[in-house]
Amino acid sequence: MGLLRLLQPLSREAGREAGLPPRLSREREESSRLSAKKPGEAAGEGPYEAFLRRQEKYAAAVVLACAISAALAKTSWAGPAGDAARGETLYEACQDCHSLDKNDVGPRHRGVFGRKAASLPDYDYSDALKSANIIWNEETLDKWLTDPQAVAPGAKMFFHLDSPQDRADVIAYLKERAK
Amino acid sequence: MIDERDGGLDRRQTLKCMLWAGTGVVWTVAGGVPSSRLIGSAKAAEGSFSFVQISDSHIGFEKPANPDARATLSAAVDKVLATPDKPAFLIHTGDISHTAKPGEFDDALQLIGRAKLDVHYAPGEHDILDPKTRDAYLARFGKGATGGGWYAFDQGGVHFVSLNNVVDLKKNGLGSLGPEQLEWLEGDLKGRTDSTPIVIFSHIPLWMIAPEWGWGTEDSAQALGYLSRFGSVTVLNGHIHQLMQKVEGNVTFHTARSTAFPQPAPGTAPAPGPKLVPAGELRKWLGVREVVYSPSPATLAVTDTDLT
Repeated sequence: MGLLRLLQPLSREAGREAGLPPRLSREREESSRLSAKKPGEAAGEGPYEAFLRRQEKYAAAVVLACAISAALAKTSWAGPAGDAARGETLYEACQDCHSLDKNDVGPRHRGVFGRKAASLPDYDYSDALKSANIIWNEETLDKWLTDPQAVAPGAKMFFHLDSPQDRADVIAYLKERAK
Repeated sequence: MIDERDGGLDRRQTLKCMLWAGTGVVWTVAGGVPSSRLIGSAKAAEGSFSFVQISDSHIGFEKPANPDARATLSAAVDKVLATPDKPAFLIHTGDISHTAKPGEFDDALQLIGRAKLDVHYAPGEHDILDPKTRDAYLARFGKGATGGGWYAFDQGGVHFVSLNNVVDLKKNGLGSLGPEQLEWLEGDLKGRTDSTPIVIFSHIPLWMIAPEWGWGTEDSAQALGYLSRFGSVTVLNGHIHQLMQKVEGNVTFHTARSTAFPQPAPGTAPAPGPKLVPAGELRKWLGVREVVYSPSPATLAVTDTDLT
């Protein structure tokens, strides 16, 4: 919502809401047009219009900065975007050994995204996973689901998903719907 | 003559129930060549005997693919009880329980005990998760077993061997027998005449069905080498929760359905695991299983093509 507002040219009403200088009266605007132009003011443009134009440029710069910042934040994970709904369907297969809320052959999954591997106190993890020192995120889960034995040789899990999209979907499900 | 209404079930209800239960293969041994058919239609020839294979009961499983695995195992036992010619014994080809909890094992024993038959088990990977559960499994189901739970027995001139291939799983979860068990098997078979019918059973298939899913046993070739001189070898497995068959020389391989939930056929899903069957599609899906008994080339052809 905030980003959308920045994308729109600032109206004068919006400018007032944002604490910008109060709207000038028609008389002041007219008299301003008659006064000498300051640097940065276009022909036929008063100081308030120039102010608004500068704010629009500023807003555009902020949008660009936000986009760059967001892109930089994602550089560690370059995999496909996941579809949590499809991931939920794929998760059926995981249920041979896992549940969201109950330890099974494998540990329960609710809250797994962002959790340290082998950190549930009431599940008996393999020594391999205990010593793996992993935080579960898109990247680590993708590796794990590709080949758990490659990540932690001797781990209990052999289940794997060969398709990057399948992995991304299951990860999205765990991240978004198994909080 | 079978009383088709025995127990309040008519033939159609029984069939529906069996389709859901997903089990109940009767093996009839005649002339050293076992053949299978649906429970309820089995009629052993004079002088022969039959036994029943159940598999993958996953007692304790209670997820959408089957919220009550106890009820479906019970339905499977009902079918055993309805067998017109009383089987000599049962074999259970593993994954008796879902998480190897003592309560799950005990429930399974109680449910299967209703059949009032000797039961010969082979462990599944859901029965032996670690050394502790291995001991719990062996204490309940490993009577007469040696080493890690393998054993043999004879019945009516047929030599039966139960193997454990669920410990020390290999790449992708492939089963393995290990040198100790292979050595024992070689010794067990030595001295038996080539004409002795052999039935081998274990949980994970002893033939490479889908190695990428772990549906096979890494060192099964060595075991099959010991069996190559015998004229009739039948291999019975579970694990994959669906019917498949293969004949290779003198060896006939069969996998069994689960009593708990189906799994996808290789190549039809991203991964193995419980397959949720929508209520509206249950009959259609289970009809695939029925095809095995009334052959459907599509289903069997796809499976066989993937493996050969």
